[in-house]
This record gives sequence, C-alpha cells and structure tokens, in this order.
Amino acid sequence: MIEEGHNANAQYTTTLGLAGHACSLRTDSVRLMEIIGAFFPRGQTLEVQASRASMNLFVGYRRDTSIGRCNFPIFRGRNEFVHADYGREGSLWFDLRAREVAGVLSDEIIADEGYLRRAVLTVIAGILAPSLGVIALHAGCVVRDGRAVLLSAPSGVGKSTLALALALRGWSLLSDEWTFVYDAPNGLKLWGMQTPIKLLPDAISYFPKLSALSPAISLNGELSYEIDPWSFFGVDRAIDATPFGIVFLKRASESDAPICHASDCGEEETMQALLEGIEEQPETSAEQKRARQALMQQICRLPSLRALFSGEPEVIAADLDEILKEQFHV
Amino acid sequence: MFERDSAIAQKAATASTDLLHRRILLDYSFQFVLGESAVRIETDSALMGKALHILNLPADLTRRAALGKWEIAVETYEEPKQNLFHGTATKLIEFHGFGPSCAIRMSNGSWFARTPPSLSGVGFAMVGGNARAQINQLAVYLRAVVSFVDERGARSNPDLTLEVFA
Repeated sequence: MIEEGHNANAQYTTTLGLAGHACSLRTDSVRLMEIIGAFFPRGQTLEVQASRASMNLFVGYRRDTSIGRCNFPIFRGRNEFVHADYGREGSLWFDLRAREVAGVLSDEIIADEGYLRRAVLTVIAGILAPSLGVIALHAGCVVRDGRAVLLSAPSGVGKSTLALALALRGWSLLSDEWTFVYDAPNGLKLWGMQTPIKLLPDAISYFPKLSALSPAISLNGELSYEIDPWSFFGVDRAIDATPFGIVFLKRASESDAPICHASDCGEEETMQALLEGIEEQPETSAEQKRARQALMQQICRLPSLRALFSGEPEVIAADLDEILKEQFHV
Repeated sequence: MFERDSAIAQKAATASTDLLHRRILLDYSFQFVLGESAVRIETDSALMGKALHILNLPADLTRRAALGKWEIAVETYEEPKQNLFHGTATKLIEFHGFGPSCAIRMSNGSWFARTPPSLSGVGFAMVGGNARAQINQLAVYLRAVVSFVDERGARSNPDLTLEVFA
C-alpha cells in the first residue's frame, strides 16, 4: 500500500547563495523560503551564476514515535550519500555527487528559527559545501574594507572571543568559528553564515552586556551563551570578503602582563596547521580531490602569522589590531 | 558465498574516511542472486549471512562479477531506549526521492539509498537485542531493501506501506 499524502507540492522557488555558488530552492513553505533566503543571501552577484546545487525542502511531516526532538541530528553517510536524521521531526538526504539535498521537516522545527539555523541550515551548508569545491576552515574571520583576516585555533583557545573583541573595535564579523573558502573567478573568497556565537560563562567578565542573559546548555552539552553577535552587540556583519592573511592563535602560559607576540609562519607550517582544522569529508571523485588540494595550496600561500597571546580580549584585540594593520595592511 | 575477506581488512588501512570521522570497515561479504543479477553485500556484521538465509535468497555460487554492491553498516544498541529512533513496530517505510537518487527509511532509523537504475547502494541497519533478535531485524531490513531495489516488488508488496516524499 502506498500513501501518497505527503507528496510535495512545491509552490515556492528561489535562488540562494552558498559560498559564492548559486543554489536553487524548492519548497512548499513561504516561511521556510524566507528564513533560508535570509540565511543564504544571494548577494549582489554570484560568482557562479548557473545553479550548482539544489535544495528541496518540505514542511508538515512528523513521525509517529515516542522519542522527542534530538538536540542535534544523527548523521550516517557513506560514499556520496548522507542522511541527517532528526527523529520525530524529519530527515535531510544528501546526494553529494548530484549536489542535491532534500528533506521533510516538521512544523515544530520550522517554528523554532534558532534551531532551524543551528541544526538544519548550518548542516546543509557544511555537508553540501565540499561538493561545490568549497573548503570549511575551522577559523573565525574579521573584515575591514572588504579585506579579511582568518583567525585559526583549536576549540577553547579563544578565537570566538577575540573575533568578537575585534568586531567591537570596528571590524566586520564574518564568522567566529567556521569560515568557507572558495575559488572565485577573481581569486580566493571567504563566506560566512549567520550563526550564533558561543561564549563560555566566564566571558561575562569581558563583555558585561552578557549579564542581561543567562547561559544555557548548548547543542553539544556545554553551558554557554549563544547569541546573535550582530543584533546583540550591534557589530557589523560581513557575508563575504577577500582573504589577506591568516593568524594562528595560541595561548601563552599565564603571565602578569598581557602579551601578544606575532611571528611569521611558513607555507608548510600553514598547511599543517590548517589541515588540523579542516572538516573531514569523503571525496566523491578524483577530480574533487585534486580541486580540494589545489584550493588548499592557494590558501597556504596567504601571508600568515603565529600569534602567542595572554590577557584580556579587549587588550589583546587592540594589540592584534595594530599587528594586522602592519603585517597585512588591513 | 559466506566469506570473510581478509584482503579488505588490509585495504581498510588506506580507505578513505567515511563521513563524520567514522571508519567503517566492511570486511564481510555475501553474494546472492536477485532476479537475474548477482548482488554482493559488504557489511561489518557476520549475522547478515544468517539474515539472508531466512529470506531464502539463493546464494550465487558462480562467483560471477556482481552487478550490484550493497555497502551496509550494522549498528547495534543494547536496550530499546538506547536507540534514539525506537518506535512502535510498524511496517511503514518512508520513500524519499532526492535528485536522481532515492532512499527508504524504516521506523527504527535504518535506511538504504541508491541511484537508479544502478542496483548498488549504501545503507545503515540499526538492530538491538540478542543475536536471534538482530538476525530477525536484519532480515526485515533486507526484505525492505530487496523490495526497494527490485522496483517491481516495492509497489506490489502488500506487507510494505510506503509513504512517499519526492
């Protein structure tokens, strides 16, 4: 017996921008189209105009199961197929060779815009991006006059805090944790998503404005503040920019005075450090692997610095600001 | 037909990483006949052979090249609660179309995806309980996959209720 009741009637279509690549969207929900359109803005021009990826997302389905919503989807994937399972609330299906994602989502997920952004749309971007030849770097990014600096560090070092501190000094914030890199016709470009910044509870001592909020358990189980930095702190948002340099951040052992020492980083060291922070993805073709390697080599040719720091973010950001102006001319 | 391919374990050392940092070594293989074609299952569970036996799918003794390859990883959970997707036992199977590909998902979270007209595909089977229970669950899973791949069977099988998203 086949129940055809959930066959999709996709009345709404639009073109989105995902890291400089056009992506077509087909959906049966005007609300979903508006939210996704804001999350993946087209921008003034798309580097690659022909649609290179497709999203088909439909709303109104809820599975009959006693288990409630998962904090985060369960991923299983092999070769070109990936499934993100949201339990009762639906599924996303990816065919990375065809650059397609399709999904059925419950009304409850669509009604929770924060969850939709954090756990659905970022997932779509993260999984689709490599099939478009885009690399996701574990790095924050700040921008001044269209010129971007990547801030790379393992989790917990303080790159989100420093990125925010720089944004409060007038830089535009493109991302605090994951930055997408792609090869545009006129050179390397960076792209970021409008995702909340996560700050640990002790950040309140550096950003007193956080006292208006209470930390909560985040999707990964950590107690933290998750906020939209652009609206909460009023900092400027950059959607895309041209990279001018990379800073590899490392915490110094505690010292009496705040320090921020920077030294040059060679191409090989840059490659090694970046590889540690790249989201691992299966290649679906030899061509994709070659393109990825070529892109990595381009990224590694960017000027890069090692920055050893200790102290309060506001003070470090002031020092770093001067260093970036001097070294990267931003 | 039922064999453990030690050469696969050797290859695994240089195998590409599966998505999300999971290296799943599928070092058991079983070959059977589906219609007129040979299909080879590569899996990480020896119980798959017993599940195939329950389904009475004829073994392919000719060792010819298989036209289809099913890469199926099996995940086990100790107690029903540990299976996030534990639900009531239903025969409802979701059919999803996405681009040129399609997939089925069962109520316990098991799924299988392929790109027609290829007979090949990948899947994850979620099973729990003792060995007997797992074999039975794998048989149910395989029966659904066989019907799904053999498209004539999918829509005529009265035991399957498909909910279609395409």
